[in-house]
Amino acid sequence: MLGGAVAAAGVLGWRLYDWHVQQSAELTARGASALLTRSEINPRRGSIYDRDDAVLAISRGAVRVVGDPLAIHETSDSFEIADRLSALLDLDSASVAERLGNPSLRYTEIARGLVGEPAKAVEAAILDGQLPGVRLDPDRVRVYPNRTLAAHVVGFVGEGTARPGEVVGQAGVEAWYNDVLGGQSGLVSSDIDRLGRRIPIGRYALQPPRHGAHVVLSIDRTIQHIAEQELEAAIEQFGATAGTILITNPRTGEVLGLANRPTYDPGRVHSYREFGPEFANRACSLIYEPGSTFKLITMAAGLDIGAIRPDTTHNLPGTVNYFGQEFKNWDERTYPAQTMVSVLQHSSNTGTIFVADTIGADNFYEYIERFGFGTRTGVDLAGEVPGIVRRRGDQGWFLPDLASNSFGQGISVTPLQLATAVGAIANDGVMMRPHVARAVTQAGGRRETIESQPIRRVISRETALTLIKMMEAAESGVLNNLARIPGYRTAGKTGTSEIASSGRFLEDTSIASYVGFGPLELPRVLALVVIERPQEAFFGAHVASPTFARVMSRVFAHLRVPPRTGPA
Amino acid sequence: MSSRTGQWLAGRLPNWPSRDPYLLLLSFVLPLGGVVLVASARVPVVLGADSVFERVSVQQMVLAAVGVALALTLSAVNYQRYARIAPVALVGMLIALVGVLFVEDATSLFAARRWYRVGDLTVQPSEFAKVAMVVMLAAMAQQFGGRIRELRVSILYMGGVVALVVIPIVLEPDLGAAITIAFVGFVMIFAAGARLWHLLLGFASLVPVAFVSVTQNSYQRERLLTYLSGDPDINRTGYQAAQAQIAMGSGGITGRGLGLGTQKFRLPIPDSDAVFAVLGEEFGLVGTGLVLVLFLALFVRGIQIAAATEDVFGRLLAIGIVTQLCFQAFVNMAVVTGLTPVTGITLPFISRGGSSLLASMILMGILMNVARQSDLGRST
Repeated sequence: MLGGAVAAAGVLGWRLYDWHVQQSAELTARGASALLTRSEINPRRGSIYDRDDAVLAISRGAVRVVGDPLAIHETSDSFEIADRLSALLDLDSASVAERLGNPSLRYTEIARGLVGEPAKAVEAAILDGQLPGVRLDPDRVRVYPNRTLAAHVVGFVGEGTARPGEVVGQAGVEAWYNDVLGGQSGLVSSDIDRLGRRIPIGRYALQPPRHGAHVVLSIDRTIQHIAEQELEAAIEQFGATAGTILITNPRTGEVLGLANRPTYDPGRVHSYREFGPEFANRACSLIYEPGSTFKLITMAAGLDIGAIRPDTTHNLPGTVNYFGQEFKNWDERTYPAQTMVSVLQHSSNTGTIFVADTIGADNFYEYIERFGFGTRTGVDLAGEVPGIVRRRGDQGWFLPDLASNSFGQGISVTPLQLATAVGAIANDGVMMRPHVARAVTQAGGRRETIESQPIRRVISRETALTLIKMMEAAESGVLNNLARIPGYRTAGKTGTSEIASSGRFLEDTSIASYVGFGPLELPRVLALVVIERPQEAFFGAHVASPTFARVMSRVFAHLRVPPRTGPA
Repeated sequence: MSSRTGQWLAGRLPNWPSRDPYLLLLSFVLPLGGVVLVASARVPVVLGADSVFERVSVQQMVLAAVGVALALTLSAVNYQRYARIAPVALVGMLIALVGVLFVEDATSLFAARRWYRVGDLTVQPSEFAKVAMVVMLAAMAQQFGGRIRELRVSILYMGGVVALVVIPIVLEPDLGAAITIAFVGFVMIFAAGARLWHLLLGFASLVPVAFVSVTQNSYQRERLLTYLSGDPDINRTGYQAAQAQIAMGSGGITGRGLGLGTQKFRLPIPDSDAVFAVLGEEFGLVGTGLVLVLFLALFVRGIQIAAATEDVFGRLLAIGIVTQLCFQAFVNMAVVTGLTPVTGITLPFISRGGSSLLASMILMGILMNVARQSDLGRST
């Protein structure tokens, strides 16, 4: 018996020696690495402001309702707690009870991002002792106080995958400036117990997070509101399906307002079932055929090369056959011996075909390239697309395409590309890079201005001034011109493009648009109105022109642009 | 061990209560070490609590004091008196063991029913049933004398007593305690003079019980499979073994120092079943080796006392008591060091738990009285 005891003690003693002495170093190292965990600390995300420092997006302190199922199991009834919580938070009691009813857990999340009344109600109930095992943990929530206003500029955020609670911009400025807004996460490394809690006598090191910077936009809240309101009104009035209004300052490239319909509420993204068409930023992420608004580009090219002058005359037949394809004026009328001004006035397709044919395909496409079509403008918004331009020599380009391209068909652009290109005409021939952010304010308060940048000179100053005069003259010749704004000189061009679908143009539906700028004394506001599939009217002149006029007159009033003096 | 030093020490101790220096030393050192270790092992609990006052550590302290007093008192009580009350005590314990199966206790681990709640305390009847069984078997051996060689006596009567105690414990379920108790029972029957093949027959009869228990309790099956696979699966039942191994390795030879162990934050029950691992981390090989030596010393001393006792009842009491205490200690240490599958069994005297501590101290008290009346006690 004694022998057995000594033998048993010997085996145990050998094992003790093996672990305490022989394997000590390896086991100590294994223990040290198993204990230590690193977890990142989420930084505070910077805010997004409009140009007058009005808040468009801000991260606010919130609370997260967290349950300790084991504690609930030991002290009370999970169903009772679930009933109380779901009544306070308007949740499904059964699913809350299911989460709280698993006593093998010490942590389960019931609700996150809670602010205001519901948060206060839960806090009161906890203080009152009604919710044992339930606590509030700090949380952050992204708030968009103006709801849908400028949704496509501001964008929205979602949860990242790098670490729990990571916030990542998913669209618009939130995505483009994600690194600026997001800051840098901190790091805490500490020894933890088996429930993930810090061991007080263990190692501990903290590297605090660097909070995100704030982004100040060029968007003017009032102008943005005007754009949204007028777009909504036009869509309503004409029974359209969608649309875009883009308001920029052509002298700086700043975007002052950018409205799309349909739209979404960035604060409620989680409630959408899918990322439907309301999430598309039509201004720079979707393309369309610009139609007659593009005639300005063709005309600018002709003037800049010197192939035409405003008083160049040409017969404008109702129909021409260009390399085997027939092209018609929209009214199919023939205008004999017309100047280039009346080409614009009548929006004659055969007239612009004449211009494009005169300068030739090489020149024509070189100017299209210079005006930035087919490449991204470089705007600071996520998801910009380059559009589609086929040049001579490209696959799918045929000789008649020069004719259709000259009046904006067979070429696909984004509204922002068109506004940027027309902006060059307004800005004495220099095209400015469009941008929506004007400044970044670091968390410490240091403000860095984002300077406006020219992309390039596209046409000469003379060409630009000449073209503006032609546009003004052509507009004044239009009978009952709905784009006219009493008291102000503006210049612009209508556009009506057919919608191509499966290789055919759809009957009785169009994209009606108008692009223009003013005041002509020193153009500093440019607006592009695009209304898709209006039901009550067809032409840009009927659908988009009046909206342009209303937008511009309200913007001029807001910016205190003085009306012209002298005779109206 | 009846060295000159021992006699010298015994001669200088007061006549009452016990004069066995080894048992006295163990009766103080082991529970005192337990109080210190439990307090250290409960640091995670204290840090998580609202108050610095730690109820369980204080309880352990009070129970240790009560236990020492109890042992010293019992050392003055003539053990022969227990022979008459043993059957009554055993029946009482059996009733308590069966009764505990009908207690609904939501806080019990693994859905086991092992405890009675008495106000703030929990009482584990199986701990006291061990005492009753040891006394009962010793009394029966005395009663039956030479008839122990009959199969009817060894297996049916004495083995029956063991079975009566073990079966309700298996049903709790507490396989670890059941195995220890059964082992102690068989050692006592064997020591009483039963034939070896009778005992082997008895062991064989336990195999189906253990088999049913393991197949009916998924956690036991998992523990066994984890042990057999030899792969300490960190996330499941092998977790405890892996953490204990890290604890002991981190302790090295002299340990991190009292209170400075970090593995107690990761061990599942650091103040009870795994207290030996906490000892290993904070006091190293010196600490675990010392505890191993102390239990070995207890066993050796118990056998010496048995050898010096002519009376069968006293001899078997000594054997049963030290076997009970030391075998349980061995199983606990073997579990912590991964030598046997994980089973929830405490380290006598040291682990948190009032029932275990008090039952162990009662056994020590009885043993002290046996020692006192033995040749060892009289010779001085």
